[in-house]
This record gives sequence, structure tokens and C-alpha cells, in this order.
Amino acid sequence: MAQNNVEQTLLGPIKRSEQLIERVLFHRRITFLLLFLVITLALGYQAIQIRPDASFVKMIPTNHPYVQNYLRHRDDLSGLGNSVKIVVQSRTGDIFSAPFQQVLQQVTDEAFFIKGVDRSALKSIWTPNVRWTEVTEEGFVGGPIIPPDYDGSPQSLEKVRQNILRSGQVGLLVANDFKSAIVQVPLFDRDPETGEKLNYQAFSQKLEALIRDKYQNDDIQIRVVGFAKIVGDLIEGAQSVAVFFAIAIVITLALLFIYSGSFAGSLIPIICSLVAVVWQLGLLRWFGYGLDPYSMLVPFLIFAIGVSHAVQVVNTIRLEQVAGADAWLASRRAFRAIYIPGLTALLSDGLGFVTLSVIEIQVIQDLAVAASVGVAVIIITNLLLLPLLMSYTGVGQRAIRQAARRTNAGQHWRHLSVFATPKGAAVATATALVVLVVGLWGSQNLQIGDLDKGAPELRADARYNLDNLFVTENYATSSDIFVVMVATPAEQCSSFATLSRVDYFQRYMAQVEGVQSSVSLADVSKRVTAGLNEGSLKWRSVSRNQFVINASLSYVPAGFMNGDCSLLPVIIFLDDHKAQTLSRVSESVERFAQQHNSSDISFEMAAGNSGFEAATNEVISRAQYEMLAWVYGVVSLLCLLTFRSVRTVVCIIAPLMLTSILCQALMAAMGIGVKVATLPVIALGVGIGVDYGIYIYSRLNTFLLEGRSLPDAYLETLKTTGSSVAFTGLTLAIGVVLWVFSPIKFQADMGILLTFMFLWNMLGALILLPALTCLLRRERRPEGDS
Amino acid sequence: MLSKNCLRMQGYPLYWLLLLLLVLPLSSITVASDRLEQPAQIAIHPERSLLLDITRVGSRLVAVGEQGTIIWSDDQGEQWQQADVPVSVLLTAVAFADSNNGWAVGHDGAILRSSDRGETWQRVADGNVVNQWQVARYEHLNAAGTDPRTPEVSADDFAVMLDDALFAQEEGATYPLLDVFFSDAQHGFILGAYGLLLRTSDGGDSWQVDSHVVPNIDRFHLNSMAQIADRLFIAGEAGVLFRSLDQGQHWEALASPYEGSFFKLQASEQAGLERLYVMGLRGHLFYSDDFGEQWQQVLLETTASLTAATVADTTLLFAGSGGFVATGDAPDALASQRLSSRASISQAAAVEPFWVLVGETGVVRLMQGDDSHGAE
Amino acid sequence: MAVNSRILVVLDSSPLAETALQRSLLIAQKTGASLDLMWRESVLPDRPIMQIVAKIIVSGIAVEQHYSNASKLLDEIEACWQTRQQMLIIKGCDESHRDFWTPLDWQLLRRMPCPVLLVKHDMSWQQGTILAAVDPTAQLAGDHLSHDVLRLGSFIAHQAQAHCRVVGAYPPPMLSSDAQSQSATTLGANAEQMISATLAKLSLASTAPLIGEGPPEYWIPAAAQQEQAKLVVIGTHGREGIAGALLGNTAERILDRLSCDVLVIKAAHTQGIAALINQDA
Repeated sequence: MAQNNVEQTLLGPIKRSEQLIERVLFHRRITFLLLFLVITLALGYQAIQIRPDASFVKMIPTNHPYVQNYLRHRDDLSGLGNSVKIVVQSRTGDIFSAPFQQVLQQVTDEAFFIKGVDRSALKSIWTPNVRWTEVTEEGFVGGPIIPPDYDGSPQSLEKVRQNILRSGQVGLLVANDFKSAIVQVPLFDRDPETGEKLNYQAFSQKLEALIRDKYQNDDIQIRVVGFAKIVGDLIEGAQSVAVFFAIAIVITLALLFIYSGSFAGSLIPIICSLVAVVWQLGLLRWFGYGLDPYSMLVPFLIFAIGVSHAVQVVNTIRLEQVAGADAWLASRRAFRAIYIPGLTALLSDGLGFVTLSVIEIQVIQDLAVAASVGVAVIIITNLLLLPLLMSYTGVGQRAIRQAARRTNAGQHWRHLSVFATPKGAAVATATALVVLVVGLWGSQNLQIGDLDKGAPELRADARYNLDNLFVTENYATSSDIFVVMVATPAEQCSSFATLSRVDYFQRYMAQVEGVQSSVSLADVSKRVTAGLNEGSLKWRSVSRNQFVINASLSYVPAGFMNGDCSLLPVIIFLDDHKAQTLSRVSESVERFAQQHNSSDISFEMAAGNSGFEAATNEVISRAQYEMLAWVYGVVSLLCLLTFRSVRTVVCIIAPLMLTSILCQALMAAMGIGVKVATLPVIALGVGIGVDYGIYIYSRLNTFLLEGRSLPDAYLETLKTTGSSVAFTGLTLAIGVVLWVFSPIKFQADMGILLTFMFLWNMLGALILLPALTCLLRRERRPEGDS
Repeated sequence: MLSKNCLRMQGYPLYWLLLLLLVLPLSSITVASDRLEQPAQIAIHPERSLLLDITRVGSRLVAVGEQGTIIWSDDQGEQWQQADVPVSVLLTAVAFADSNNGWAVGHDGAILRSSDRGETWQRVADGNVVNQWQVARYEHLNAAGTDPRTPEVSADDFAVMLDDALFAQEEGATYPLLDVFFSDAQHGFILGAYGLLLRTSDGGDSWQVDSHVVPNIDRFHLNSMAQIADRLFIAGEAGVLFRSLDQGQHWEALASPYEGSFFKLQASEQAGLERLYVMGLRGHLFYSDDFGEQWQQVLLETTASLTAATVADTTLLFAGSGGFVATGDAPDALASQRLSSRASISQAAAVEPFWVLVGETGVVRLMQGDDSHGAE
Repeated sequence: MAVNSRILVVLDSSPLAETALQRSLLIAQKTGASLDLMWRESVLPDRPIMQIVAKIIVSGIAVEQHYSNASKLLDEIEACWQTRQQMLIIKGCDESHRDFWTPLDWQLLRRMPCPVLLVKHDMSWQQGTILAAVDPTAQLAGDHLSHDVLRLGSFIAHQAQAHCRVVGAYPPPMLSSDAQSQSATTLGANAEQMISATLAKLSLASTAPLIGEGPPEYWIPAAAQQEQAKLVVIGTHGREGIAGALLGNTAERILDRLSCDVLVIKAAHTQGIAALINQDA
């Protein structure tokens, strides 16, 4: 009785809502069609205007202490946030030729004028802020690297060579082998005048058009590295994403047609799912979001989820039509039949995606919003619009004949229905346990963060990564930078106490495995002090005499201290940005800070791309399991509310968990690390996989209530819903597997992972779900209802 | 639970005990703060640190450098071990008085001593102690009005020196020490910036301030000391040269062939010829066969500062900034090269069959007789 | 039969109106009621319908003629009813309607203070089947409108020497709902049981009810087709305004799909119906 009361309380509103919606929808079909059309046009107009939107800050966890420290000092840390390096390489000789220098000068000038560039911090051997210094009998002399009387003559070039040698820029702005030179271009995340965000796509295009295309020729090669370029390349690659999307749509359409034999029944699901994507993009734009390179796969996922639900609806309509109903009747009945499982599945998808927001990284939170908006929209387009459209067309005579033929030939499902028998169930479950153990063992190796050099979002042989390799091979500084911010009271950053402590800190860090070198204001002071003493190495120390320190810091290059001398960045160059390296580095800094922090000095982490990555890795490793806990929690709760039975929830969720673990093992095996880009994949997989379980179990339950035995009921389920589940899984997998050919490695990796998850979820729902149901029901009498 | 009465009866000791217990854990967290107090950090590759001096004691090589690094090698510089050093200052010079006792000096007036061939070091003095010595010395001399060793130095001069010493004391331990030299187990000298000269006659147990004995009115930095045929020589900033014929009792100024700084003196006794080399700023190299009276210039086509020199049997080596290395059997037969790393070399030692150089990037070994650009 | 029972007939010049008039003639003859003829438009005397009018007058049935504007028709009808208290309104069921605005027939059904009979054929109801359409939900036991439908259906069948059968559509199965709602057989069995219980409670004769899978807009016309029914009696909520525009009324929806007459009653008519039925007892 109590069970009934609970049931009635839960179901009452649902059933009433269904009645209401069904009546209104089917009585006013034309009105709703027009309404949907208008909304589609309005949102379509918005959707067309959606722009790629990437922001450096969105990629990093803004609540993490490291990032908060960075954001606090952000204005003082020019050039460390966001910059690109343009390498001008001579293919035929070295840089000491007049034509090369001319190109280098022109490239420097071009970079100066590109929108978004922090001009005062722009550096190359042609900019006045890069100088050579030398000691003579008279003292300290210096000057710009390119002499004022430079005229391209061999003598001028020889002077330039000497100046470069005396400037300490070899390995920094000039390659070790003197065959290339760098123009370092720091960027503003936000334009200081207009407050606009940096438009990565426009910037990247300008770089290509104004610099690479213009100046690259047989003698000169231009290379560009830096975060902004990665983003720009990804955005360019977004076009290929669109192409793959289109191919997948076509394949899905073709397969749908082959499977259902119905023209309307394949076209309308595709149309409705595309409408869902249009609405999603339109709504996102309306809310002020853009598409960042990491969430550009969400529209396809929305399409995929939409198609899988649409197939269920169309399938049900077809069943009704085979039983004799006309299009209108079949659609209306199918609407009612599918209402609860469809709504539950989509709500658990949506709420599951919403839980991704627990991760405090904006890009993932945006992803959560995009995905849940998309799923909410699918509720309208595929649960409302689809039956509406189908009520006019039906599935067509051809499909009905084909289905009637097939019903008799449904014997091949017998093989699968064996898993609903006790013996089959035992075998299936045992196999699943073995696979589980393998998966757990494999997923131990799952790493957080990047495992490779360069930009892992792109292929190893992508132009960007080749450029990056060139820079690491020919220049002394790595591109993996971890910045420790040393904060002091105002005017104290150059005190002896501060500088000597920083000096000590740098030596401490040099002993940490993975640290290549470091540089800070202390180094400037040491070198200039030596310079002030005729360049003698014996004077290369931080002087205890404050006047000497002050003299040594009379000219400080940009970025080594801030305006009121309260901040001193220590720039640490790492060998790589592997997660272990980063955590080792941050732990070491933490230990040092604990021992040495005081009211006069504090060592704060972190800036620099590796600093952010350290923060991100920490957040991700914490959030990884938190996120899964939330997703599973929400999904389980919804299943519980729908089926009102804990055993059922177990049967549905267990296969999903198996898939999640196997996916982690797969990621470990493929060398994909858990990062901002890949973190949501598993949660997405859960969201999509639960649909299968809900649909199959709903049908199975109905047959069981009719009094059939489990194997029988399951056979019937397979004949009706099972085929559409299998079909959906295969079609989506085929559509996604094409991504393997994408030039964007990140998309290719996602393709493999999603293919795996689609297929494995399908198998889990078809094989493991009935097996578990069988096992869990053995304790009760076979005739009992759920 | 102690009652109030109990506390009152116990009185202050308990109170302080409790306070101490509170404070102790806190104080153990913060580390000694000054680099003269902090022991040198153990490095993974100490031989890659900035190293400024290297010396041989027997078959062992000992090198010193940044942040209190002192390393030794017993296999001709192949492998190195780091010594226990109680300071973290830049050490500029090392010398051994005998086969066991070594001395290292450096910035902030740090003076270190080792009695186990350089494996462990103890702090003998720091800049504050040196300042005290200076003040004490000049107070004494100021009171006395004169020093019999230096009759040309007047009482006013001593007053000025006392002022300078007091001023230096106020400034703290700021003056770097630049070289250490022992002519035998008992007699040694320490040279420093601004004309500082310390002398010991008892193997380093006590040191005496002898800055005023050197006729260095402008207080130029004293960079290097060498000995040839019982004569001691000092070379320094702005080309100053000084000679002592009596183990440092008296010093005389020599006419200098160059107005720019000298960084290194090197004695050479090849083939019975007693020759003294002096080298310094912008590639200037001179030698004298008559104990400093006259100098010949060796023209090297370089403007690199020369800071390192050593002799191996019959072969000479000179090295300096920017990776400049010149070797040869005679000054007019020097072959020069540049290390490809362009790292500046600070000092060199010879141990068959290698030249072991130290400098900006740590230890660099070259094969003797090899012209290639850096073997390490 | 009550002496002062009146019937209002809405007429115009279309063939449907002729059918309606024929039907009213049959009913008036049977019940002895008098007719109020409400003309929506002026009709020329040479139209066939005028002959039927003549026939009615000749047969001794009291006839009063009223004329109204097309636009104010409903108001006029209501005003007429205020004074005359007709027991029934009869109109030809107009199958063409302008799509956007609410058809006249539907407005009639929603607003009228007495039962409305929409006529589609002029064959006699005698010996035919009359269907009483109810919604076999759990609320059936307390739903007075449905009880009125059942009683009225039974009454008319008795009067017309026809048989009355109850028709009810159970909602299609809903996956994952409560156990009862998931299976068509269970739903059907429940519906049948509920109708039988209600019939028993109302002391009405019960032949096996016609139970089928809904929605009612499909099943009621399907059952009527199957039984070749002459008349369907159905209740309506008469939702107007926005509710009427969105939710609509089932009675209105089946009009287009039926090929027989439809008698629509509202909850407000219950007194009139009770009076009508009891009078004859």
C-alpha cells in the first residue's frame, strides 16, 4: 500500500502532464508547427552568428589558489600570460645577411601593428628594449642590437653579430646555431582600450596572412608557436569538424533508411535532431556564449542523442502502424507510450551534464551549459516536434511491409535472449567481472594532464607541433614555463633580503627533477653587478650593499618586477609539462614557501602555462571522481524515481559503470591524459548510455507484467526495442569513428573514445542488463512483478 | 590541570617553559635566514654550477663556486662530490696550505677552512668578523699613530682608514674576498675588494689586517696573488701590481704595463726559466722574466678578458670570457679557440691528461693537446 | 410526455438543415414537443426546406418561427431559451469550418444551456444502436456528467426502441508507468469493470460495453462505425477561451469523424435531463 502511495505521488503529476501535453499538441498541430518554425527561424538566425570564442582564462580553474594569485598579480606580469613566438628561420644560411635582417625587421613591424599585441613588451633583436652590454676599461657600455647606422653592409652585419653575442640573447631571441631568430609577441587577453576580448581566430588569421604567407618563401621559413596559435589552429580546424559532422549526418540518414525502409522515418528524425542543434546553438548565442574549441563537439553529441531518441519514437510509431493504426493515431499512441522513458532518459542526460559544473573550470562549465541546453531542446524537438511531424507522414507503406516481414524473421534475436536465462546470465556476468578487473587494472595507469610535448590537441606532425619541436631544439628556453610570484611589501622586491632569498630559492628549485633552469630579478642583479665590475665572474653575486643592488637594477627588462617593486616573478623553465613533473615542482615550491614565507616575503604560485596546468591538473584530479559521483548520483536517482526499484537501477547503472572504467583504461592505453578537453567525455558517455538501459528496461518491464517469463519477455523486447537500440549504437559509432581521420588529434581521440562508449554501452544494455535482471530476480518468485 | 595556586607558586619558569614550548615548534619551521648562516644546498649536478676557482691537492681536484658549492674529484674531474659547507655565499677562491688543510674565501667576507682535504668545511670568519679585525687594527694603529713597517703612512692616513673601517662595519658584511694564497703551510694571504689584505703566519689560526702595507691609496680591488722564486706578487684592478720580497712584510708598487684591470697572475717555471704571467681585461697578457721589472706583451687577437691560467709540464693554458682558451708551449706559440658553448672560464687546473676548466657552466674538461671545442 | 417541452431548431438554407428539420419532426412526433424554428438567414419560400416546414405545420405540431442575424445567432438562441426553456436544440452538423476560428457548432456545444443534437442523417433511430460514450477512468464512479450520459442514452434507447451500448476508450499503455497502465489487457479489463460497476450502481441494464484502446477521438468513431450506430450520446466539459483553444473538447473532435447523430450534454444540463427522464418514469 505504501508503495502504491509513493507511486501515485510520483506518477500522478507525470501522467497528468502527459495528458495535457498530448491533447494540446495533437489538437493544435498546425499552430505548433508554425510556432516551431518561427522559433527555428529566430534561433537559426542567432545560431548563424555564433562565433568561436576562446579565452585563456576560461581554460584555467579560476577558483584555484594558484590562479587567484595569478589573477591578482596579472597586470604586473606582462608577457607571461599569453604570448606567441614568431620564428624567422633562414633555410639557406644564417641570420647575418641583409635580406634576412630585412625580413626580420619587417616581421617585427608587422607584429607591432596586429590588434591585441602588447606593443611595449614586443621583443626581437630589432626592438629597442633588447640591448647588448659590455665592459670596457671605461666601464659599462651598451646599446641596441641593431646599431643606429645599420645599412645592411657586411661590416654592419658583423657589428650585429658581435652585439648579439654580447647581449646574452643567444638561445633566447637568436637560435643556438644562429640560423633563426624569434620575435616574441605578448598579447592582451583583453584590449586595454576597448575592453574587448582577444579574438583568437582573427589574430591567428592575421598572423598567417600578414606574416607567414607574406614572408615565407624559398629562403625564409616562418614558424609560430604559442597558446594563441594553438587556439587559432583549432578554430581553423573547426571547419574540418563541420565536414565530419556532415559526413556523419549523411551516413546516419542512409543507415536509418536501410534499417527502417521508411523515407519519412529516416528524414524526419534527422531533421528534428538538426533542429535541436540549431536551437541549441541559437540559445547559446542568445545567452552570450560562443563556441570554444573544446565544446565544438557538443552539437554533434546533441545530434547523436537526438537521433537515438528519435529512432525509439519512430520505431514505436512503426509498431503501432504495423498493428493497424494510421499515422495520426500511431504518433499519438507512441507519444504516450514513450513519454516516461523518453523524458526520464533526457532529464537524466540533462541533469547529468549540469553536474559537470562542479568543476571549477569555466570551459567545462560552459560545456555543461551547452550540453544541458541541448538536451532540454531535444525534449522539445524529438519528443514533441517529431511525433507531430510523423503524425502527418507516418512511416510509409514500404516500412510497414518491411517490418511485417521482419517480425517473423526475428528469430536471430534468440541468440541474445539466452542471456536472460540463468545460465546465460551467469556467463555474461562472469565475463563482465573479468572485463571489469582488466579495466580496473588498466585504468590505474590513467594520467592527469598532458603526456606528450607540444600541443596534444593537434597531431604530432601538425604544423604547430613541428614548429614547437623546432623551437625546443634550437633555443635554450623551453616553452613550459612555471612562474612563482614572489610578493613583498612595496619597494622591497629589490632588497638584499629578498634577492638573496630568491637566489637561494632558484638553486633549491634547480635540484627538482624536471626543472631546466630559472631566471629572475636576482639574475639580472647578479649579471649586471658583474658587468659593473668589468664583467668579472667573481662579482656575479647579489651584493649585500643596497646601493650596489640599486645600481645593478637601474635598467630592468620588462617582466622581472612590477611598477611599485612589490612583485618579483621567478620564471622556471621545465623540461616538460607532464603531470608528475608539475606536481613535483609545485610540491617543492610549497615546501619552500612553508619554510621561508614571512611578512616580508611570500612565494606564491603560479603563473606561466605550466603553472596554470599545475593548477588545472590539481583541480581535475580532485574533480574527476567528484564529477562521476554526481553524474551517477543524479542518473541513479532519476532511474529510481522512474522505475521505483533499486534492483532495476542496479541493472541499468552497472553496465554504465563498466563502460566508464573501460573507457578510462582505454584512455590510459592510448596515452590520452585526463585534461580539460577529455574530462567530460566519460560523463557524456554515461549520459548517452543511460538512454539505452531506460528504453530496454521499460519495454522489458511491460512484458514481464504481462506474465511472461524473463527469457520470453526479453525476446519480445529485443524484437521491438532491442533492434533500435542496436541500430542506434552502431550508427552513432560509425558516424563518430570517422573522426579518427580528423587533423585535430583531440577530435580523433574523442572519436575513438566515443565510438568505444557508444558500442560498449549498447552491448552492455543488450547483454548485461538482462543478465543482471535475471540474476537479481532469482531470489524472488518468477511471477512477481517489479 | 594546574590550579591557579600552583601556577603562582611555580612562578615565571613555568610560564616561560610554556611559552618556549609554543615558540619552539614555530621557530623550527622558519629556516635560518641569512646566506652566511644557511648551509650550502646539496645539488644534483654541483659540477654544473657557476664555479670560480679550482685547485689541485695531490691527485684531488677541489673547486668552489656559487651558493657555497665546494666539490672535489679524485678521478681527474670525471666525477665530483659535494662537500659540507656551512654558508651559501658565492665562493671566489680556494687554496690548500698543505695536503690536508684547505682554505676557501668568498662574498660577504666568508672565510672557510677544511682539515680533511676539502670534504667538510668550517666557517672561520665572515665579513662582520673581518670588519671587527679591521676596526681593531686601525684603532690600534690610529692610537699608535704609526706602523714601523710602513713609515710613509701618516697618522692622518690611519685616521682615515679607521673611519673607513668603522663605515664598513656599519654597512655590514658587504665586501667580497677575491683570492687566497698560501706560500707554505704557515704563511698565507687573503685578498679582497677595496684593497683588503689579510695575512697569517700560523697556518690560519690568526689573521692580521695588512691592507695599509700595500701602497694602494685608491683602494683598488686586489684580484690575484702568485709566487715565484720566493717573491710574492699581487695584481689587481686598474692594472695595479705589487711585489714583496720578504714574504709580505713589505710591499712595493711596480710599474704596470696596462691601465686596465688584471685578473690573474700565473707563475711558470718551464725549462728553468722563471717567468711570471699577468693577464686581464680585454685580452691583455704580459710576462716578465725579471720578476716584474719589465713586461712583454703577448698579442692575442681577442678582446676577451683573461681570468684563468695554468701550467702542465711544458704547456701553458690561458682562458677567459666567452669561452676563450689559448694553449701552447710558449707565449708566441699559443693556439686559441673558443668553446662552442661560449661559456666564460674563471679558472683552470691541469691533471694529466686533461685541462680541467671551471666557469660559467661548471666544469669543462679538455684533452691536453686537443684543439676541439670543448670535450664535456 | 411533458406538455410544455419545446425544441429549438437552428435552420438555414443548406441540405443539412433539411436533415435537421426531418429529425426534429421525428422527435416532435414522438414526444409531442413543439418546435421553435430559428432561422439564421432568410430563406426563399421556394426552397425544399420550406416544404418540410409546411409539412410540420400541417401535421399539427406547434411551430414558432424566429429570425436572427448570423452574427448574433448564439445570443438570440440563448435569449430564446431564457423565455421558452427548450429541452433540446437541434442543428445540422456542419462539416466545413473555417480553420482558424471556432466553428459555430463547437460554440453551440460550449455555450448552450440545454443538450444539443447535431444531426448528420435522417434515418430513424428505431431498432438501431445508440452509443453512450463515457470516459472509463477511476473517477467514473463519481462523475455525474457520465452518469447523465448513461441514463440519457438508456432513456432514449428505451423511447426509440433501440439498444443502448456503452462505449469507452481506455488510454493507450504508457511504458514505465504504474503496473496497471503498462498493459493494454489490464487497462481494458479495468475499464470494462468500471463501466459495469457504474451501470450496476445506476441500475441500468448492461450489455457488454465496447471497450477499445484510445484516444477517444479514435475509438468512439471506430466503435460507432463498427456498430453502425445511429446516435452517439456524449458529455462535454465545454471548455471555452484559451482552454478551449488549447485543450479543446473531445465531443467537438469526434464530430468530423462520426457519420451518425451526436447528442452532446454538459454538466449544467443535469437538472433538465433529470426532469426529462423522471417525467417519463
